[in-house]
Amino acid sequence: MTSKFYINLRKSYIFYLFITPAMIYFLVFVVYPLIQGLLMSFQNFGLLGSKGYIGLENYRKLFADPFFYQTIWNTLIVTVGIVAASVLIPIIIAIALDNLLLQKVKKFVQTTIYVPFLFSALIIIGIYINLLSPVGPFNSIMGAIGLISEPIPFFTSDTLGRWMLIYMTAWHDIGFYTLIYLAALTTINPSLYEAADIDGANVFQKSRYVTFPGILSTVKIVLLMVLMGAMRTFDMSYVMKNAANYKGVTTAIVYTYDQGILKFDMGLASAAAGIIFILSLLLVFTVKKIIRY
Amino acid sequence: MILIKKLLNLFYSFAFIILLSSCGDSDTSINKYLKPQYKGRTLKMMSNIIGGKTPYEQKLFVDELERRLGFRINFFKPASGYDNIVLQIFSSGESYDLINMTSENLPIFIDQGALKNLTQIVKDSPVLSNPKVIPTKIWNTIKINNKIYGVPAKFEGGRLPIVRQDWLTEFDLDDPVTLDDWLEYWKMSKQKNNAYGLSTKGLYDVQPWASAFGLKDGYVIVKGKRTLPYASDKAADFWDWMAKVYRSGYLDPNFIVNQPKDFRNMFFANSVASVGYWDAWVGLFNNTEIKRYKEGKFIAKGIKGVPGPKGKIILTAGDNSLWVIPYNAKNIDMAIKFLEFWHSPPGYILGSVGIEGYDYTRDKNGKIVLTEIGIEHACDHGAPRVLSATWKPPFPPLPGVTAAQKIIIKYATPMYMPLDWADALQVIEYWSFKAIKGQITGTQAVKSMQKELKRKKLID
Repeated sequence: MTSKFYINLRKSYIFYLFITPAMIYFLVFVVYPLIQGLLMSFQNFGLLGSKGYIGLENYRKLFADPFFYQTIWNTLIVTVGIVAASVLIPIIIAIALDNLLLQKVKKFVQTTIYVPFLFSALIIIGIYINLLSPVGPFNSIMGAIGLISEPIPFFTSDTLGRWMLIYMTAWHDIGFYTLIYLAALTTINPSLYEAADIDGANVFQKSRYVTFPGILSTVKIVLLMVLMGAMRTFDMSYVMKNAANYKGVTTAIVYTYDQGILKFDMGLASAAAGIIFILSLLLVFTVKKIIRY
Repeated sequence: MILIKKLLNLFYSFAFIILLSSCGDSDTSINKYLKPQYKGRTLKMMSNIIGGKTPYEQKLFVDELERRLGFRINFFKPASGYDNIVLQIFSSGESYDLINMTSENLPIFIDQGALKNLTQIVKDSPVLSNPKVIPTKIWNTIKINNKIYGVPAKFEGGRLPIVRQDWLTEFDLDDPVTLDDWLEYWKMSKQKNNAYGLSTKGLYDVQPWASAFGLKDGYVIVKGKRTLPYASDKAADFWDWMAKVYRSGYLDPNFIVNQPKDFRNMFFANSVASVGYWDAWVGLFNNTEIKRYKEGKFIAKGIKGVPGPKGKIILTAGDNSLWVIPYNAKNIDMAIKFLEFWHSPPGYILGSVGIEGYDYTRDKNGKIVLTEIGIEHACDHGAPRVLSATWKPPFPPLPGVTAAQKIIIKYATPMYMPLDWADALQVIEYWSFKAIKGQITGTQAVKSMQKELKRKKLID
């Protein structure tokens, strides 16, 4: 074993050298804070530091707080929604774009759908609050043509707020994932399409039997990326939550932030962060197992 | 060519020497005011309330403070995210001698042991303990468990209903007194000026109208128990009344997501007939629209809240803006010196009118004359109004402020906002918004509030 290791080390030492900075970074900025966080979760840790170890008290407080469960539930729903939207919709857009013959139209659509990815959560929510507020253009037009009698409370309802959170996150990310799929589509061998044409396959059959298998590994990567990103949804939730919708849109990460930064209970926040970390790992490994990645 | 090069070198050297000597001069100009006991020390302070000064003006301001106090000052004014920066400073252990914060944040910092107890320091100071300088009533609103942890920076005033006097005249109405009067004023404003009656930022501040139901915002301790009047049984009628206001189209439908600047802009833009806001803003509204004010086309006026069942009017006094001394401050004597200066006539002039020779000059009789820049600053350099009842400011207040301030002094009381207030407010707002929007009744709202507040141990 040891000699094998040394042989391998001697053979690929240059590559080990390449990954060393990344490993040091990982140890200092990921592993060390994780261990610190774990230790803090057993302490009464406030603004000015630790006031001593208190055993499992932070975990007891955390599991006694019904709102923590609510935020976990919100996170799971939001994750399912974001994963569904951000993984599937870009596939459809990418296939459609790939089949467009007019290059100008293709480039225009490609650029347009990528633009939201350049915006921060604050700007996106600012745009939508103006657009969808009770006195904004959407509600005014819908009201004027008689489709609604009351303004739709997009940002002041738990349920709608949660949908808005999913929608805005997906709207932000779709352009980016579309580009990834478009890149994957270019790697599919054109002769496969020619063969499908000869066999008389229509557009849907070609997508089903040629395109989709061709980009499947990319879909799996995107799925895992979106999943991990959605589990730590913070900025959108933090910016859009208000007293009327907080029960529906507060995610577990925002809960952690509130406890640690706004209430100075770093011990409780660390305990919450630990639980979220474990849940995320479980979810990611389960999905990896299911998709055989 | 060589001669030109030599001449240029000579010129650069000369310019460099001039530059160095001017730097030295500037340093000496500060040094000559430094008092020996403060040698080698710097007062480190932080505030976000500087009265709209530019960075250059802020430097002039700090220079003037240094000249007056005789020690060096490092005055940090973060560009944004003030509260977060304060947190970072405390959690990183960075040492400051003075930090400005609102009394709302005080309980949480005291709970963390982050602030010095100033009770004895204030008692020992002839300036700060003088009730003519800082009234006992103000100290009583600041004390927590009978201890002082912060020194007020300025007179804060309070929040009251602000209406458009020109509209009342146009509609031939008197100042609204009862809830029916208010509904009539809002109805006329909607019909004649296509304006909403009321705009708020959530429940901030509906107190003048909650007053009609005898409800006080924040926590109220009754027989040693924590109660929340907005969540009490008698609040049900108030939430039903607010629902009526919303249903009638008088309440700005954006009230849940509004920020104060939103309803202020609406008030300026004739889009809303009234706001529940700071007394000082009566003057600022009128002063900003001074042309329309003089023409009688925009007159903001602060009026009383609605009397309750026993005729009592309840308004909210503002959170005090406080100077606190962190637990790890190194120059407490200098911090006290600054606070005593800040609460003296030269400090009042500096905090309001500004810097002599820049914001104002003095005429032959020693009377203050504002420069053009001074006029622009509207007598605000961090403390536009002072707590001293005896000091007379050199200029009259902005239009409408005096009357509004009298109402505040007579009727406003501070809110009690202990550690749990933020959580309690979230529960109250959540259910009250549902009631206001007509999704549940007022009774259902208060029952839900009580249930959730009890479960979360936020009321006794």
